[in-house]
Amino acid sequence: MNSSSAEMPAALREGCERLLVRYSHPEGALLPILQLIQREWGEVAEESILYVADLLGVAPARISGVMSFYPGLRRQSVGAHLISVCRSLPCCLMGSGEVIDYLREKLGIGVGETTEDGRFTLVEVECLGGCGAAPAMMVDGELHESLTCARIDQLLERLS
Amino acid sequence: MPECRLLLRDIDIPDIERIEAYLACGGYRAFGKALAAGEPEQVMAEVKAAGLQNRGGEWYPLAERWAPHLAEGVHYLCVDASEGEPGIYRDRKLIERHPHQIVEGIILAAYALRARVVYVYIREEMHRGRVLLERAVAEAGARGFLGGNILGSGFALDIHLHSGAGGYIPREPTALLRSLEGHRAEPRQGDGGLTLFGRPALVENVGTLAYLPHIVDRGAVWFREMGSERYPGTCVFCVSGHVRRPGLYELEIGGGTLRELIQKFAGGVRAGHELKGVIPGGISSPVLRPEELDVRLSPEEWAVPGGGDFPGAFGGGGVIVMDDTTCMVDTALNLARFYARESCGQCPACGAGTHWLQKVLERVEKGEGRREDLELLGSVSGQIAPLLEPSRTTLCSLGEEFAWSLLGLLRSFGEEFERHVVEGRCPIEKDRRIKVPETVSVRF
Amino acid sequence: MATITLDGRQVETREGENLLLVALEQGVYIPHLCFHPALSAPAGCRLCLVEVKGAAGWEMVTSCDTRIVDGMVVNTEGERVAQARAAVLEFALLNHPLDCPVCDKAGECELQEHVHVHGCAVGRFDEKKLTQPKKVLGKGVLLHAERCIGCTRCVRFCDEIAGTSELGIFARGARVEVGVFPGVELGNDLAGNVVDLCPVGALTDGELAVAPPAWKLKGIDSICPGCSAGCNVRVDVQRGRIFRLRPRVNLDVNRYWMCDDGRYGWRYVHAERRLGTPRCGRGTAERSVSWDEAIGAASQRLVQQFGPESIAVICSGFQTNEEGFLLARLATDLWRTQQLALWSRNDGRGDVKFTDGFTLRGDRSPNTRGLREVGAGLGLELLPSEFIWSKIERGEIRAVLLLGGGGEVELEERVRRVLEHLEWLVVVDILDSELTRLADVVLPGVSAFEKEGSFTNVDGRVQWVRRAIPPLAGALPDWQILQKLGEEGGGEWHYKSPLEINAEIEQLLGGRYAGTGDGGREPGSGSGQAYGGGWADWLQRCGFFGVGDHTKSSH
Repeated sequence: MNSSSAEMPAALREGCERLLVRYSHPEGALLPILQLIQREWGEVAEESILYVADLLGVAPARISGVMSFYPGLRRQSVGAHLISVCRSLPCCLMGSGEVIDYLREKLGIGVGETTEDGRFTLVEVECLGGCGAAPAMMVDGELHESLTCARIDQLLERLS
Repeated sequence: MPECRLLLRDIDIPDIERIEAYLACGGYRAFGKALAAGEPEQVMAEVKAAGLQNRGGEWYPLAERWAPHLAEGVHYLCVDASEGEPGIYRDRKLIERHPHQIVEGIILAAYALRARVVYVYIREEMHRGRVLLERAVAEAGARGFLGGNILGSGFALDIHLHSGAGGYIPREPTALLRSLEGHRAEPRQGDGGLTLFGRPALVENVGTLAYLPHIVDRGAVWFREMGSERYPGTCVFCVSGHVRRPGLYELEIGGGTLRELIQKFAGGVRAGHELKGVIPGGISSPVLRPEELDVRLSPEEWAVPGGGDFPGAFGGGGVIVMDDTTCMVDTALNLARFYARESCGQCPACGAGTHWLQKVLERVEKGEGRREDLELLGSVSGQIAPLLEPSRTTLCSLGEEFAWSLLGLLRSFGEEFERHVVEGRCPIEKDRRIKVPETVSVRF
Repeated sequence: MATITLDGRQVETREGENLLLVALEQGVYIPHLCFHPALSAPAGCRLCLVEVKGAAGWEMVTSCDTRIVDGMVVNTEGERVAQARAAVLEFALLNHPLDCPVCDKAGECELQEHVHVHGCAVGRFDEKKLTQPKKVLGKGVLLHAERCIGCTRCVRFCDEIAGTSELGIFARGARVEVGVFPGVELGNDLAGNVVDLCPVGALTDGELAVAPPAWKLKGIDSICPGCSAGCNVRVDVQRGRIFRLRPRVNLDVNRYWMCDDGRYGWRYVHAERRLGTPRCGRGTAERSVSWDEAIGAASQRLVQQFGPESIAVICSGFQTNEEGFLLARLATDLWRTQQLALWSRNDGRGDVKFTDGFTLRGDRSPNTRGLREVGAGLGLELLPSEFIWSKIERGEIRAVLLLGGGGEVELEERVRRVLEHLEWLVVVDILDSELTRLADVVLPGVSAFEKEGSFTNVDGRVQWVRRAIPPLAGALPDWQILQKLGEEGGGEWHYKSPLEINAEIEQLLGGRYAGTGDGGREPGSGSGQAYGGGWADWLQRCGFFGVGDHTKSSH
């Protein structure tokens, strides 16, 4: 099972090269490169892992093992909008459980699931640093704090 | 007792995250001074004289960590911007709102340590922060504060932002370095000291380095006028939970009590409710009861909060306030889930032990607890982290955190745990509405 | 130099040495799971915690990564250490299934050992254990993921010794498990060592699914005949059958390992095609005969019909030094020919060296060097087989005595034609094959596992090969066959055992050949009870643990 670098779009390859120059050892670029691939393609597939293994001189088993460690690296793609609700203590005290319930009801999915139309994926995450204005959630990389039902409704509408 | 704003002094100035505004407030003046003097040892000496300690929860004096590198310097300075402990969010705010203060702090530290390369390990979730910090670094570079032969001094420095990929454990220094090297973020033991790619390295926290511009600009003596003899300076407390005004409050260390912080600054418990418990230092510090809040906000006063031989922990200044709507077993379970999820899994005590505690707490919370469960929780926690004599059954200190938290909860709210077991249900009425503080003002 | 106090005893050692290894040397057993002397020490399992006196009083440290400092005071006993060990074991057992009755590792499991001595008889975990499916990792190695305690020895082995990194650690916390990347399975030449390394029954050898439990196997110390490296092995047998080979620790020869070819490549010993009776005649004329008839027929024609110039003796590298000694004397003294050749088995790959020095040899016969040295000692130079083949083609050599003795041999086209060209071919071998079917007389010999003698490895180390199982009924060890041929040829040889021959070799060559006769130990003796392989085996030999060795009971 060989992955040729020709299959990697040129822009992606350039991105990898630019990341590599920052580190005296190619392995330092592993996480950033995986994140780059995930950003471009939504997921890091097996072929990509083999490409990166070849590029960095790192075993594919190690790369998979590394990916399985970090919640931010995925083997499967998510919906168009990733909703990550913080469930850590301060947010929990301020109603993150209720936020989750509300979203589950509105979207009709469970935690870890994606809506049928592929629009939204709902996950529970740990502390996002929004403790001072809890409850908080992250949607597409943007932090939303001081959540209320109204704010959640507004946000979902904007994204639909 | 007023606030003592040092790190937060200029945070409300419009556009302070841009270099023009920062320079106008005296930004990079400290760096200018250091370069002009031309002696990295002087910066080190100033840091030592100021007695600056790590603000990431460990409170070690920076000078102690830096001393072994006095002669040779380090090759890499890694900056821990990986803040992820529930209840602590100052680094995120400082990065988003006041990035140049941090950049200057980093540059000063790198200068003192003669580091050639800086990696800022920034949490993946800090999307906005990363963008702003990157821009600040670019702006500093454009002014000639970075790169080769900076301002003709011969000092050269590159700052790279390195995004984490999630997880709480990278805040542990050896795990952070391991993650930078492209591995699982597993803490390491060993006598080699901190290394990155085989070369000497140091890891310092963002919220700590932010003090450097102030110390170098106005001197160690001035810095020591704040705080206590052993713990000089200020601490940015993060208040969250059931208070009227959650947010960041910067106080002199020892400049007030925990009760004052909660009542006076954070407005006290929200209307119609009573204070039930306070986690004073981020979730790794044991909970305090309402009658135990008259401790001064200083690590040295924290040895025996509330008396007895139960060691408390000042921690990282993350104050989580809980009122009477809080079920402490729920709280324990919430923490258990956090730590079980975040465990790296290298050592059985943390990996399997925390999992075990979670499973038992799940039953107790549901009302399916057994009589022996409470003793079991205490005993297992004691095995993971004996309070009085450390046993090192965990590889790193993060493995012990939950055990301490749980022992604290059992000590302070044991009766509530018992009621769950005896009554077979949670005795606290649950409020199912989504709550926000009365004054919805996001402070900073 | 450094002096430390170990459990109240003064011990002389050196600064910087590994504390755990020093303790073991001193006969103090510190239990450990993730540590292995050949691998890096992540200090993850925490079982090796001991108390060390520092400036601030007694503190607990992991002995596996602590270095000796002069004046160190170490306590490996006492309440605190006992509690730490019990705690670690309780956590390690948390999700570990109660598989002992059906687990391959039972009886030689390091976790079992430690729990028995340092753990609690009853665990308090009363929740549902996490379950994980079994996985096939590659090369017949099965992963029973539920039993895995996450020690990472197998992963570190593939990274640091094999250098192939097929194994990785996946997931986090209580769910950590070993795995491979899909499509890149475990495939290195040393893969079988991970089964030895695994301190529990998480990694098992798929082929051994039907095998007696460890405590029913008897282990015989011998040498692997797979190549010229001469890896020290233990042959585990029961009732005359070999069940498995495990490496013995020998830091000068094979370190802690053996390769997969040697580990799994012995099954020919029990193949159906083993030769059990002497034969005369070819093709339709083939018939079974008695030993006397076969020896008579072979010797007569070789010696009487063909002169010394037209006969040759070919050995294969599987003969012991003692057999080589007899063979050389047979050739020179009795048959008066100098045409003694070595037909070696080379796999064309050349030597494969691994990071810690362990080397897989391209020379696939175990005693090339020994045969050369013994021959040289008797004034004979071993000729290359090519020399003989050419002479046969030219009709100058017309009769050959050929000794095989290894596993399957595939004849090259050219060699087959050459052998067919012979007028008289006598073969001593163990498997019925193309080669034996070309022979006019077939004399059934035995494998290296069925005889006593010595091999000299590629580095010149002379090691004793011990008989692990009785010779196949009807076959004879090569040295006895050669003795019979010698007697037929007029020799007055009355050796009663290879030990006697060895004594003569010792006289002849001295040096490295002295003292290899093993002090006249009885054939078939060895380490006794089987226990793991490599490091675990070494620990057992030191008396640290093994089934039946316990005098302590668990609390």
